[in-house]
Amino acid sequence: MGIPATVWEIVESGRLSNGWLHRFNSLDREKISHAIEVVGLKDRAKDSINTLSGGQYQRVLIARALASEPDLLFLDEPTAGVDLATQIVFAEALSHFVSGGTTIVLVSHDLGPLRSLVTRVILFREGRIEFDGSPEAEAVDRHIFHDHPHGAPPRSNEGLL
Amino acid sequence: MNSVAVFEFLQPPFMQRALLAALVVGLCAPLVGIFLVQRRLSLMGDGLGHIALTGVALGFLLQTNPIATAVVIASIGSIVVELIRAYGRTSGDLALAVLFYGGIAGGVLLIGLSSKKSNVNLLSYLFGSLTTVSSFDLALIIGLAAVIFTVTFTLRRALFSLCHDAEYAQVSGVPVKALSMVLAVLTAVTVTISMRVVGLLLVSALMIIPVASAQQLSRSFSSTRRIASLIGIAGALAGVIISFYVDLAPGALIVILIIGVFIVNIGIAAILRKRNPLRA
Repeated sequence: MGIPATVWEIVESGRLSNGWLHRFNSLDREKISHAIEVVGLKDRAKDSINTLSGGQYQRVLIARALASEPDLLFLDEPTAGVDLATQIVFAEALSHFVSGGTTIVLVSHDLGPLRSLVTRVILFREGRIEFDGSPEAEAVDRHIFHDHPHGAPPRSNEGLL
Repeated sequence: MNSVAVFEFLQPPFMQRALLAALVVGLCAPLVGIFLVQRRLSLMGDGLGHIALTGVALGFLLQTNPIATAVVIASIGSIVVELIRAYGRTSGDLALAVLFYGGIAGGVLLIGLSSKKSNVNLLSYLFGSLTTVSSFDLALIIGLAAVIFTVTFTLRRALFSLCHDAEYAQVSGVPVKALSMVLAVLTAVTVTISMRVVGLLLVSALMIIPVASAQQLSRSFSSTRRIASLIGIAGALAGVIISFYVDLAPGALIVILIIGVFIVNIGIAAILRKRNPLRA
C-alpha cells in the first residue's frame, strides 16, 4: 500500500499537461470534477484509491486522461480484464473524448461496448493489413466472431486497429 | 508550580536554539520524506547521510562550518546517485553501495587528518548534538528549511505526479529527470539540516517514520503530508524538552517517540478499518 491519495488528487495530475507549474484555477477544478463525474465516481472523489476495486481504479485513470483534454489518445487493449460495467462506463467516457474532438487510436481484440464509437477499422494478420474500412463490414464480424485464433505467437502481430 | 518553573526549559539560550532547530526540522523532514516513501526510496536519506559525513569532515579539515560543507557534498552526492539511478543499469545498486560506504569511510579518514579532538565531534554529527547548535547553524538551518518548504509546496502537484506515476508525468510534459534531481537535492539538504537534530545515522527516521504513521490515518495525500509534519514537529519538540529534564540523547529520544506514535497509529487504523472497511 502506497501513500493514500484520493480520486481527486490522482485526476488532478491530468491537468499538469496544461503546464506543469501552472496555478490551478476554477477551470481546472471544473475539468477535474467533470472528468470524475463522467466515469461515475462523483461520490468517491474524496475517497482513497486504496479502497477502490481494480475496475474503479481503471476508471480513475480514464478520468485523469479525460481531465488532460488530449488531442490524441493511444489505447492498447484498454478493456482487457475489465468487468462489463466498467467497459460500458469506459465507452461513455470515450464518447466524451470523441465529441470533444480527440482522435483515438485503439488496439483491441474485442471491441465490446466500444464498438459503437469506432469509425474506421484496420485488421492485421501476420503483420499485414488484411482489411481497412467501415466497422459495419462483414470482414470485421468474421474476424471477431469466427476466425480469431488466440494464443498466436507474438510475432504474428494480429490485431484490430 | 508557577509558570516560570513550567517553562524552565525555555530559559537557556541553547535550549531556545535547540527547540527552534527541532521545530523547523520536524516540520520539513516529512515534507520531503513523503515523496521518497511514495517513490519507494525510503532509504535514500540514509545513504545521503553517509555521504554528508564526508562533507562534515571536510568542514573540520577546512575549518569552516560543517553544515555548509555537508550541504555541498551531500548535494553533489545526491546528483551522482540520481544519475546512477537514471542511467545505470544492473550495477546501479552496487554503485550506490560504493558511494554510500565511500562517504562514511571518507568522512572518518578526513576527520583523522584534521585534528585529534574531533572523534567527539564526529559522534555529535552521527547521533546529533542539538544543544551545541550555534546561532550561525540555526540561521543556516532555518534558511535551508525555508527553501525546502517553498520548493515542496510549489512543486507539490508535479512531485506527486512524478512519484505516483512517472511515465504518466512524462507524457504530461513534467520534466521527470530534472524533477527527480530536484527531489534528490532536497533530500540531501534535508539530511544536512536534520543531522544536528537527530544525527546522520537517524536522519532518515525523521523523514520516513512520521509519513508512515500519518498514512495509517489519512485518506488523501495532502492530509498525510499535514499529519506527518505535525507528528514530526511534536516528536522533535517533545524529544528536546524531555532531554532537558532527563539526561538522554535528544536525537534517539525523538526517533523512539515517533516510532511510538507509529505503533499507536497502526493500532488505531486497525480498529477504524474494522468499524468501516471503506476507510483506507
